[in-house]
Amino acid sequence: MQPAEQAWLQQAQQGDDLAFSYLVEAYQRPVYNLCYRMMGNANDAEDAAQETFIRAYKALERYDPSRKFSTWLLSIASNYCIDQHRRRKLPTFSVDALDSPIIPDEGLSVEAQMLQDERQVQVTALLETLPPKDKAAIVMRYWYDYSYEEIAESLSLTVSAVKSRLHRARKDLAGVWSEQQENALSMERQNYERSSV
Amino acid sequence: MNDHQSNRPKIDRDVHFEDIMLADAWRDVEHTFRSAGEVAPLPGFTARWMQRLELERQRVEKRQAAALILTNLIIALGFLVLIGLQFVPAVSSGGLLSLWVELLSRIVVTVQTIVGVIGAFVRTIPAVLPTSWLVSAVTIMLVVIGLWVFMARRILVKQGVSHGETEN
Repeated sequence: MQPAEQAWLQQAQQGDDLAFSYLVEAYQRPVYNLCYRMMGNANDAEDAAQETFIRAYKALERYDPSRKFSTWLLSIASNYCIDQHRRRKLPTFSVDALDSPIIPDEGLSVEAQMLQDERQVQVTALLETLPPKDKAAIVMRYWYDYSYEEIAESLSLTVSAVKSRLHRARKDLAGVWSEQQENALSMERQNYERSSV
Repeated sequence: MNDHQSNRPKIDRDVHFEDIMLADAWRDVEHTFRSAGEVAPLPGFTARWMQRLELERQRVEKRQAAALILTNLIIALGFLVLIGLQFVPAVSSGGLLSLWVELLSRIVVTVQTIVGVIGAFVRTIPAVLPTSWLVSAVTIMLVVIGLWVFMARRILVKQGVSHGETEN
């Protein structure tokens, strides 16, 4: 954590809204990204990310400075998303995800941007095959390079449970991916055969 | 059995092949994840959060005000009922209030008696029992309490596992 962020944190703990808003500005991206990956669409992700910061603001007094602030925030976000899944029994992959507002990267060409959008849809579809907790573990591991211990702490699991969850999730994702590739190949083959006839 | 023995290398080969396929597929998935990067929220996220915080505060204030009004209302209603009862001839002549006062005073007297008995017992123990007995009794109590706390923690707090986690 940067010294400036530490100062904001201390000021926020004394009830300074503006100081906390700087922290929101600094951490909105990872929190939103985790929520987006877990909820599968932009509207729910925005709501979950906003709620995460509200909960963090309310619980600021209980924040343990020995923990990484980002880990603490992502832990709140993932637990909120897991609860939402459980309460609402969220539908898995929705059409909304296809045209969700993904902010274009200024440096990318139109073609590269399209490819990136396609990749986002692919990622969402893949993650939607996993249970919420596994999804959170995968995002923490492969987007933020969290250690098993950090994931365990964030998701209130044991380290061995995290390892077994990640192992199972990797296997499932690889299976889904192979299936998708096979389907795409057979579609291409059919199209080729049709066009050659 | 012979069939099994002869087929086993083939089964092993198949399993190995499947593992390699999955490992390759996972490599592709991991590459897709890592290259997908972070998804950012729409611009103005912080401003929207500030608005939401303000709304949340208003909601809490409203809830607190409603709770205060409701509490006062219940207390006022209680008084009204008590005062109203005095106008009912049967109750007012019997003195419902005096019945309540009598009941409350009985409770207070009983509690005071129990506390007094326990206090006297505690004060007399040191004179009756030798010190070594007292030390042993305190030690046993502490050990038992420690065991209770330990058991309660084991039962109530599944450490490191949440939401009905069953694996490991």
